[in-house]
Amino acid sequence: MTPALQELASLDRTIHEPARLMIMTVLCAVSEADFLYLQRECGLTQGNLSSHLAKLEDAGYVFIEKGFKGKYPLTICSSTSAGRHAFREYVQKMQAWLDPRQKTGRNRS
Amino acid sequence: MTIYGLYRKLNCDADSAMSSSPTILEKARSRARSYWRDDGIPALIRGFQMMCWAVFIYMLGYGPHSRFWRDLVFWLGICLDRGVMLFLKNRITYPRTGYVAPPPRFQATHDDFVLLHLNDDDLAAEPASPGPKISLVGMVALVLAAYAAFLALVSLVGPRPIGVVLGSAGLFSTLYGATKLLIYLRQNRRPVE
Repeated sequence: MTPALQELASLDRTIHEPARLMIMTVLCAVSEADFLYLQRECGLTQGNLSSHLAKLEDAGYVFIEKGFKGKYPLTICSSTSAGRHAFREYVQKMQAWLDPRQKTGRNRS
Repeated sequence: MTIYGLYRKLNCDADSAMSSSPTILEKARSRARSYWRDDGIPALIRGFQMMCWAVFIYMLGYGPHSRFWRDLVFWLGICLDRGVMLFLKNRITYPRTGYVAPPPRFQATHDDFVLLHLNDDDLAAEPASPGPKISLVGMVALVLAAYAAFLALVSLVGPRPIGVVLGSAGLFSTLYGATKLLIYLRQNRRPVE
């Protein structure tokens, strides 16, 4: 295996998982969203979303604030600066690996 | 995961795992923006606001005091419309289909645009921003200029034709918003407590 390929192993596995990638994409696109919105956008079940959010929270990528709005439970999620940084790095790596020419082309321009 | 699996994952269609590209990020952002309008509440409030203003503009022909009320209604509308929309959304939309941060009035204050531009030449080349960025001062200046231009038009054409046009537009917007809200309410029932 070439060193270039081995670099792929350095991908952030917390973000690399498709469900968490979806969650991070939504949370990086908006400043905050609640559990219900994320569930509808990502098409995940409650349990699935909950476990993925917990993993992202453990990694410090997502900040979760639990509370109540009247009688309804309200879970507001937002991406942390570490999360946004990790996400940006992930996107950068993916783009560089997918199309290195695109990168050099842009740098030239 | 094998390299082949990773390759497939990277090359699959835009709606799946490659959703991290700036284009998909922009799509997620535009979905959040359209979510703000999906329930019809903004159109309803704006229409109602326009109709109120049209009434006072139309009444200009009847007395000098209505000028004060016209200006008061305009500036109150500008200052309070967002609050009224959020008040209604808190009770109607968010319990049904979830909450997402409303789109900013002034793009420059929105933190997430920094995401793709910060120390990142490659991603900065992507069209991350949905529109022109206007500062708060610029926005206030723009509103004042538009208001002055509108007043000039009212004095030129006369208050009544302008009132009728504005009132019709407001009525249309209110009806459009109300219809959208009814459809939204039918499609999304309030969850059981």
